[in-house]
Formats: sequence, structure tokens, C-alpha cells
Amino acid sequence: MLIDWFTVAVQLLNFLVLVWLMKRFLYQPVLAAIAARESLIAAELADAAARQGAAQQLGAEFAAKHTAFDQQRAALMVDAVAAAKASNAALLQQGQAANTAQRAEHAAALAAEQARICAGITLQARDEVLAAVRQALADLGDEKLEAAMVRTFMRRLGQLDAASRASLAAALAADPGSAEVRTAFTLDATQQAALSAALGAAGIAAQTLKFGPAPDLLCGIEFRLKGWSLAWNLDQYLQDFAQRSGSLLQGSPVPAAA
Amino acid sequence: MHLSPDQLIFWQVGFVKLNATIAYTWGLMLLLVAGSALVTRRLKYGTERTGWQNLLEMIVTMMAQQIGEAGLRQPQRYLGFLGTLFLFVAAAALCTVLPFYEPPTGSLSTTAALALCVLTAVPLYGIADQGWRGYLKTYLEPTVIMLPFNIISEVSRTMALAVRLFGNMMSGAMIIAILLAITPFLFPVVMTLLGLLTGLVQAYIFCILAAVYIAAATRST
Repeated sequence: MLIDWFTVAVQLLNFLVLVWLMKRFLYQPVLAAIAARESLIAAELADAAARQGAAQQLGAEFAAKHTAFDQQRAALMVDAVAAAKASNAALLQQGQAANTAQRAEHAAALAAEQARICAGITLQARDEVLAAVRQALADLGDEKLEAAMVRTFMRRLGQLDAASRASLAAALAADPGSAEVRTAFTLDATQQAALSAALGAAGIAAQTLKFGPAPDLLCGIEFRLKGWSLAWNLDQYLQDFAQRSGSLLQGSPVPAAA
Repeated sequence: MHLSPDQLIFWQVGFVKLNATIAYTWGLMLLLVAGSALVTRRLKYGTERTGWQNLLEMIVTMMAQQIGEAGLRQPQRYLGFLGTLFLFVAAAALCTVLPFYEPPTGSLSTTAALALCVLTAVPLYGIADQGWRGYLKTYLEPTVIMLPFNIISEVSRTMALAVRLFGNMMSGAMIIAILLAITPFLFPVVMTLLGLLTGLVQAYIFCILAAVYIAAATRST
């Protein structure tokens, strides 16, 4: 007989006891550990999901802020570009105006400098011409020219107006000894007599008329009284010419040079 | 030579006896329970755990998965019974590598006891799931005429469970014993390895068939 019913009963009991023991020492602890680990992992996953949600929310907020920042930056950039363009235009206009003014100032300064140089050159040329003329007249002047100029002087004495004659007479009456005739070349007696006669005819009859040389006159004659001078000589003529030409240059827009 | 470890009796008083089947069963029970208690004594509930805990969790998870694939919707509910069936039969087969050991599943008394457990567990789970009327109604399906055939099927499959496991385990042990007497070394080793594979396959078959029977009984119409 292969089946022993006592053994069957004992094995049946053994198996039931083994089922209880295995449940007690194996399945329940292992399943509890697995369940605990699954709950732990589920909690970690939930926490991770929450963190991911928070991160996504932060990401969305950051993206929104980034977009707003981009828009603000673009607006600021547009404003800055517009302001820069306006400032550039204003500065350019201001620079152009300043440049124009400076150019005008430079042009005026240049024109003034040109005028000053031209006036200087003119005055220098005038002085040179006068010096040349003075030298030429000094070289050409002689007794004949002196005599001609004495005659001219006497003719001018005859042409004096009444007021000038009265003034000369008054000056002569105030200081009779101050009458003096100065010539570049010494006058002979005939010329001195003719000159005295001409003065007398003009109402200027000097009792003591002195004649003296005057080399600085170049050529010509000068009649002096106290406070008065009546002359006809080349030096006076050249001084008059220089004075007139100086007056003409001073009357021009260009200032006259000294 | 004896066909069953039942015939190897260590102690007997009347009909009460202590034979090799019972003794080796107690040894296996001690091994399984002590091993489980040692490993589960310091279980870690976090993500870091020992290799033995990993092995136990893998075995339990695999058994639950197999039970679920057999058609049972709540594997943890049947894990105690079906898992212990598998572990006991598998441990009995794996220990055949030990000298002077005879598997208790090589005894028809043991396999008959296990088959009786399955025969009892199937209606218990069926009644717990469907109630008395629902479970008994399954014997009348598809028609009332099928009632005797269903009862015969119930008994015959229980006998088949017992005889299949007994035949495989007993034949394996007998072949090893005969080859050990004829050729002392090479063939017994090969046949022992083959017996290990056969024993594991029989444990799997026994457990899966029991799961299928319980699933058929608990499946609501």
C-alpha cells in the first residue's frame, strides 16, 4: 500500500502549519516591505510631481517675465533709438550752426586779416612811394625849382582870404619879432625883397623878417609866426598827400595801419 | 530498496509513527521557516536592501505575478496557499542534491495530502467568492446532465495532481538510486541535475494547476 493515511493526515496538518508559518514569516513581512517601499516611492513620485509642477509654474513665470522683459527692452530700445536719433539730429543741427557761425567768424577774421594786410601793404607801399618821391624830389630839387616854388608861394599869398589875412596880421602884431621865412636853398636879395613885397601886399608887413635855411623842407618855402605857419614846400606837400591818403584809407571799411 | 519514504520508519507506537516522509517534511519546514524568519527579521523598508531580501522579494513578486497570470484577480489573497505549495515542492526537489535525503514529495501520502488540500481549497475559495449557490451552480453547467461528469472531473483531477507529482518525484529518485548502484559517478550526477529541473517544473505545474482550478471556481458567471 503506497498511501499511509496517518502520514497523509500528518502531512496535511504539516502543510497547513507551513502555510500559516510562511504567511507569518515570509509573505506578510515581504509584502509589507514592498507596500511600504511602493508607498515611499509613490510619495517621492508625488513629491517629484509637485516639485515638477512648481518648477513648471516657476518656468512659466520666468518665461512670462522673460517675455515682458523682452518687450520692455524692445520698447526701451525703440525709445532710446528715437531719443538718440533726435539727439543726433539736434547735435548735428547745433554743430552745423556752430560750424556755420565759426566759418562766418573765420571768414570775417580772414577778411579782416586780408584787409589789414592789404591796408598794411597799401600803407607800406604809400610810404615807400612817398619815400621814393621824397628821395627823387630831394635829388631833383635845386634853386630853379626853389624859385618856382617861391613864386607859387607868393601867388598863394595873394589868394588868401580876408579872414586868414586878419589872423596873420593879428599874430604878427602880437609878436612882431617872430616872423621867419625858412627855405631849403638860400634866397638871394632879389627873392627876399620880392617876398617881403608880397607879404606886405597881403597885409603882413613885418618890420624884422628873418630868413633862414631849412634843409628838412627838401625844396620850397615856409613862413612862420607864433601859432601860425604858411608854407609851400615839397615836404609839406608830401605830408599833406600822406594825410589825405591816410584819411581815404581810414574812411574805407578796412582800418588804417599806423 | 523502497518505493516510498513512508516505508522508512524511525519510530512507531501503534498507528502513530515517525517515518522519513514526516521527518524530511519537518526538516523542509524548518528550513523554509527559519530561512524566511532570518531574512525577514531585518527587512529594510527603504530603497536600499540586502541581497537576500532582494531574492525573497523577487520570489514572492514572481509568484504573485504567475498567480495573477493564471487568472486570479487578487494574487495576494492566494499567495499564502499557492506560494507555499510551490516553495514546498520546489524545496523538496532542490534538496535531492543532499546525501541521504529522500524528497517527501516522492511519497504518495504527501502528494495525496497536497492534492486534498487543493481539493478542499478550491470549493472554499469558490464559496467565499461566489457563495454556496453560485459555487454549486457551477457543477450544473452547462446542463444538469453534466453534474456527475463535473464531480468525476473534480475527483480525477485531484488524483491526477497527486499521482503526477508522486510519479515524477518517485521515478526520479528511483532512477538516481538505480544508476547510483550501477554507475557510481557520472550518470547519477547528470540524472540528479535532470531531477532538479524536473522537480522545479513539477512544482510550477502543481502550483499553476491549483491556481487554474481555484480561478475556475472563483470566476463569477
